[in-house]
Amino acid sequence: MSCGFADRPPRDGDHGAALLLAIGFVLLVSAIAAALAALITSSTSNSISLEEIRNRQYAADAAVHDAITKVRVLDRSTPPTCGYQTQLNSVDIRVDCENAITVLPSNDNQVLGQRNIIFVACPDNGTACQADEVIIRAQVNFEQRFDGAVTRTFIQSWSVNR
Amino acid sequence: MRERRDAGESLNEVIITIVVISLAVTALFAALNTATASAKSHADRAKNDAVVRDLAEAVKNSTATCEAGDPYTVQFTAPTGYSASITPSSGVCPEVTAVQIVTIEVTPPAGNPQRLEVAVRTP
Repeated sequence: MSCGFADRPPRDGDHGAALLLAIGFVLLVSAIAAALAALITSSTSNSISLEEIRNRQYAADAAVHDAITKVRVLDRSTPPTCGYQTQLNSVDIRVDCENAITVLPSNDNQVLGQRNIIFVACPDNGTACQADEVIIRAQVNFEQRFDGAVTRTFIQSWSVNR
Repeated sequence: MRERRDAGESLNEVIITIVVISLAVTALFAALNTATASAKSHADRAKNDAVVRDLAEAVKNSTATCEAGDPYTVQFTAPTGYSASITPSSGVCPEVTAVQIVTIEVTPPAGNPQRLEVAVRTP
């Protein structure tokens, strides 16, 4: 009775080694190719988002400037509510604002009210801007004469968040 | 001494190995070429973005101190190989009650023109 093993010819030690090496090499090359593919995909994605971010930031920038011009002509006795919506660079932006009036003493011991407004711009999704959506946050000072007319605006702070 | 039925087996293996390795090396070179082209494209786009932003900031700077109705001039020199245009080309500072939309377009040495709209206002 034969058990099968005895009928097999003796094998060389390196029998089939070249094929194994080739398979190993192909696996290595596949890994390198996969890494390159991931790199290319990542680069392409990054460059597209670069332009999206630029368009979004300049749209938000324009929206805040637009809001400043609108608030500028408002009666100072009424706090602005904003909620202005604009579109630029194919991006819809909403600007909300809040009053941040500060009071300063003048040289002749009078009290001067400084009209400061904080503007926040975010992508317009129909609701008020949430903190984690804010693209630009700006605090603007509206220099006023006694009759309330704004003579000049000053950007006190301007932060671009995303 | 090798048995007769093993004759030529190594040659077959070597030939298959050469074919497989050739295919793998060809694929690797193709992938490297694609990666190089992609990296160059990405670098070009990043540089284009920087030029567009430079021009946008130059436009905004030009109105930083202007008075309504006064002309303003945009100081900008495009890098070699780039061309840039601004619409409206001759700027006049807008009234304080409105912003002015300026469209800028930068044409890189290779690739599509980049277009961006920015708003300027009289402070």
